[in-house]
Amino acid sequence: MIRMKNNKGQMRVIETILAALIIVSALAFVNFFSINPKAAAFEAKDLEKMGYSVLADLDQQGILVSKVYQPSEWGDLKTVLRLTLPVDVYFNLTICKLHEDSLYKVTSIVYGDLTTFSDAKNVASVSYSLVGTSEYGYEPRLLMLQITRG
Amino acid sequence: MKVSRTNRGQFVIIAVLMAAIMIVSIGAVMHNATTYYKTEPWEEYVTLVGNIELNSKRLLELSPTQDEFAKNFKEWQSDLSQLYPGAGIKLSYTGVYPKVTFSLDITSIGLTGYKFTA
Repeated sequence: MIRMKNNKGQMRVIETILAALIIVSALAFVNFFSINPKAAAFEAKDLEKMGYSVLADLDQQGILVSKVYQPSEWGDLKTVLRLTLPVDVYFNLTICKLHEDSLYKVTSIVYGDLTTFSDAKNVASVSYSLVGTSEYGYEPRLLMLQITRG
Repeated sequence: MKVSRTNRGQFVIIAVLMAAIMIVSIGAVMHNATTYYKTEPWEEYVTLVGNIELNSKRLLELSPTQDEFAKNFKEWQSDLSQLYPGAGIKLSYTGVYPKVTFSLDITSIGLTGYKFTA
């Protein structure tokens, strides 16, 4: 009788360990498929969305056009982007001019050290086009915005 | 009695297994249902369409005459494929300047006949 009771106790322990393993593996399985805010995939997508949103919002308000075409306003454009984006986000905005089927770099507006981009785990790159202004006429520009978290 | 006690242990394992399946199922359902973890219905093309729409309307504003608009629109059509290579953007318009309706196709995302009026 004593031997039997001992065996029963060991079986319970094995059952408990098995149950714990099953529960832990189930949780790991769910966690593997979930995309939470800490996941790398979420972060890259979030940065990309943020980049597009900031450019689209500034364009809808007419701020982007007034700043991009005037070299004297590029400093203000940097300030606007810094104010619009979160504090820990660094950016590199390249303005390109389209002329005869070729893109020419006009300028780069950088906030943050360039090593921030080379060392960063996640860097999102977005493109946004502008057709021109009433003042300048048809003058297409391509804005390439790289953003990352510091 | 001995046989009965041994079988009871197996039932516990089955019960735990079922509980684990339940946990996984609830986790999967919650993953799909909650808005916090759910992938938002935002994709790159939403901004791309908005960008083209806004700038096509702006093209009308910066073109003072019908001829000017026709010339600029032709360039804009061509330049869109340079600005977004591989997107398969086709832009056309109907109507008479300055009341025109644009029609946009983006083959890479399966968008056809998206119309917007300036």
